[in-house]
Amino acid sequence: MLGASGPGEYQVKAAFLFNFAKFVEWPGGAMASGREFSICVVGDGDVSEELEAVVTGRDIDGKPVAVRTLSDPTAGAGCQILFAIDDAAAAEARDSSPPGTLTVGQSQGFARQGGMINFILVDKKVRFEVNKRSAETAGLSISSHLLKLAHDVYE
Amino acid sequence: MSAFRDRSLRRKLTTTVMLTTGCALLLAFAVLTVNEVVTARRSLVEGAQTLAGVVGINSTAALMFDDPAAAEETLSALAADRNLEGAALYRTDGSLFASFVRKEGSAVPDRPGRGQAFGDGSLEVFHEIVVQEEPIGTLYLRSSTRAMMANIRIFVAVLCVVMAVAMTLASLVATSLRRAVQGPIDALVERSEAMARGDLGTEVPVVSRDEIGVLASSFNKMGQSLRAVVVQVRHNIRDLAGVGETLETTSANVVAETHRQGRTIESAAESIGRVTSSIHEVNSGVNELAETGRGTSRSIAKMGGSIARVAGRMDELAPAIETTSTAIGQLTASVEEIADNVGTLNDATATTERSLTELTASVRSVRDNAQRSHELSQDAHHEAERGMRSVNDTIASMHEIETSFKRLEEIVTRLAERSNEIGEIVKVIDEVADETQLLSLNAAIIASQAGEQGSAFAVVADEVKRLAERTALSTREIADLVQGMRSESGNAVRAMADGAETVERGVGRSQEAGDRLRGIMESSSLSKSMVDEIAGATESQAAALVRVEEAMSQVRAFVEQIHRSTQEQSRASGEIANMVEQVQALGNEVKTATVAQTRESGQITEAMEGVTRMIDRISQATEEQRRESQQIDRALGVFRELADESVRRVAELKRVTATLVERSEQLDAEIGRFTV
Repeated sequence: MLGASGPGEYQVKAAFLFNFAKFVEWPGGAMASGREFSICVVGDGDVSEELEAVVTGRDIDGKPVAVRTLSDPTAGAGCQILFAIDDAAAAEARDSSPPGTLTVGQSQGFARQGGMINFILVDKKVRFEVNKRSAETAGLSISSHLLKLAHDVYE
Repeated sequence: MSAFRDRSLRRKLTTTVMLTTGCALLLAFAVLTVNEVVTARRSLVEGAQTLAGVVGINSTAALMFDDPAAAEETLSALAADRNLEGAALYRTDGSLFASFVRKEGSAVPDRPGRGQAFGDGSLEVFHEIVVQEEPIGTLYLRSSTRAMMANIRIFVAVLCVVMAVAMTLASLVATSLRRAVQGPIDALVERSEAMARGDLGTEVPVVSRDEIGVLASSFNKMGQSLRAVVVQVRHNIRDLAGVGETLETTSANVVAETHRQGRTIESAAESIGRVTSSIHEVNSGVNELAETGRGTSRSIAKMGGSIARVAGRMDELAPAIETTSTAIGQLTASVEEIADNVGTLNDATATTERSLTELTASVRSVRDNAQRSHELSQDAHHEAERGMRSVNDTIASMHEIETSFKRLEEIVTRLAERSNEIGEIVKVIDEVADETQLLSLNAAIIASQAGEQGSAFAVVADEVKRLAERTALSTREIADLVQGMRSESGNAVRAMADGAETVERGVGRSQEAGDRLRGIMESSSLSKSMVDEIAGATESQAAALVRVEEAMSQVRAFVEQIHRSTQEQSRASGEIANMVEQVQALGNEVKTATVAQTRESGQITEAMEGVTRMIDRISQATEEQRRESQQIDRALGVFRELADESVRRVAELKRVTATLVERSEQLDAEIGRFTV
């Protein structure tokens, strides 16, 4: 856990989570299942409110966006994005998340260790690292525009 | 415009060609230039918009993940575009996100705008960046228009060069056109100048069939027509000269003729004057005659009145008078114009005198007859008076008889009344007798009853009885007498009434006789007075006849005077032939009429009235003659004026003719200049 930042930090992260969906292509099966685009939150921390505020009334690829809070990353079946808030959840997500799920964390070394996108703070601004290989392994395709913005890209 | 009209054909052609070419080129160049500018601007805008789209897509992620550095990196890639002066990205809240400027000092707007606009040497485009229908920011691009303007300038320069070349070519075309048109026109000009100098002989060669060729052939036709006209004019001038000479001769003749006419008019006027004075003489004679004739007419009218009265009684006069009026009508008709043939009138006058004598004789016999009638009427009157007296006596006697009858009637009536009274008395006596008889019977009965003493009484009674019977007998006789008397007196009364009636009728008859006698008397006195009137009338007729005879001799004297005057007039008015002929014709009529008169007239009246009317006619005729001679005089005055006018006109004509001759000579000289 990188520690609580200013009051705007979760708002920015919530917006980023939502925006990632626009630069990532899910495999056909993952996207087709379910009528909703689910952003699932796992771990000790309350980001759901900010997420709800961001996604309410918006949709991704014509599907309404739903925010679900999970107790266990393994229960993340049907989630398109799985956001692991704390380090434990990040570790679980990194190891045992279902295929076709974009795993996002905010733990040190999460991307380097196999997570797909990891929030970091650079000069007090929210940035992110991308593990391109993990994403490709999971069948996800990350847009070059996103990769270009990434602070670090792990191949 | 008039300045253009007066220019030479060559300059007109050149100007027209150059103007046409210049205008067409200018219009085309203006359109091309505008099109070029519009196209260049549109392509610039389209380029900028395309660029903005690309840059926007590339900047999407930077905007979404709030990475200005990445955005500025993207924008700085625009430096490759030389025209791009600056670019910027704005967030949705309008704040500047990232910017790029080519030159130091130039800036980008603080806030985003909308659409695109050409500013000072640059194009500004604002492009909204949208991701999945959600705006995430705005891109600003400012592109320089210098390159575009440079291209347009080059384009315009090329156009100017093209125009210059085109104008030069147009000028060359105009020159060659001018050569094609000018040659034939020069030939035409040369020919027309020759024609103006008077040379009509040669023609222009016709080398083409265009308007110039048509003009040349028309010009040749005109020359031919002109030649024909000149020949005709020469011919006409010669004719005109001949006409002028003829006109001169004619006007000289007219002048001479007019003078002669004037002289004739003068002599005619003199003759007319003579005629007029002669007419005056005749007129005065006629007036005198008219006066005498009127006197005669008055006498004759007076006599005519007497004759008319006589004619009422004397039937033999009536047809004569009718004949007279017929003859008068004929004479009236005949004596319309008495001229030099009045001699026949003398015969008429003589006949009239004979007729007068006859009339005098007839008047005398009428007078004698009237005298006899007078005496007879007087006798009749006397006889009638006597008869009247007898009738009156008869009537008086009748009246006396009537009176006696009336008295007698009264007496008889009274007698009848008395006999009635007697009848009444007799009736009483009869009654008394009856009573007495009854009494005597009673007395006899009583006497018989009385016996002896009574026998005396019975004798008395018997006597009474006989008395009564005798009385009764007498009374019956009286009654019968009275009855007979009564019927007799009734007969007498009736007879007397008849007598009275007869007397009355007699009186009526007598009165009728008296009335008739009175009528006879009145008639006879009327006839007497009429006969007296006739006598008086015949007396005055006789006296009038004496005056008529006197007048007749005067008439004859005047007729002779008229005869002389009319002969004089006839001599004088030889020129007024128709008038004289008329008079002669009328004279013939008079002759015929006078013969008729001789045959018809037994009476003076007709002839005399005829003479009077004749005189009036003569007077009218001479008056008419005078008026006619005055009219002729006036007409002669008009003739004179007309003759003077003719002389003036002829002089004018002469002058005009001289001018005409002079002009025709001038014209001949002018026409002579033309060579045909």
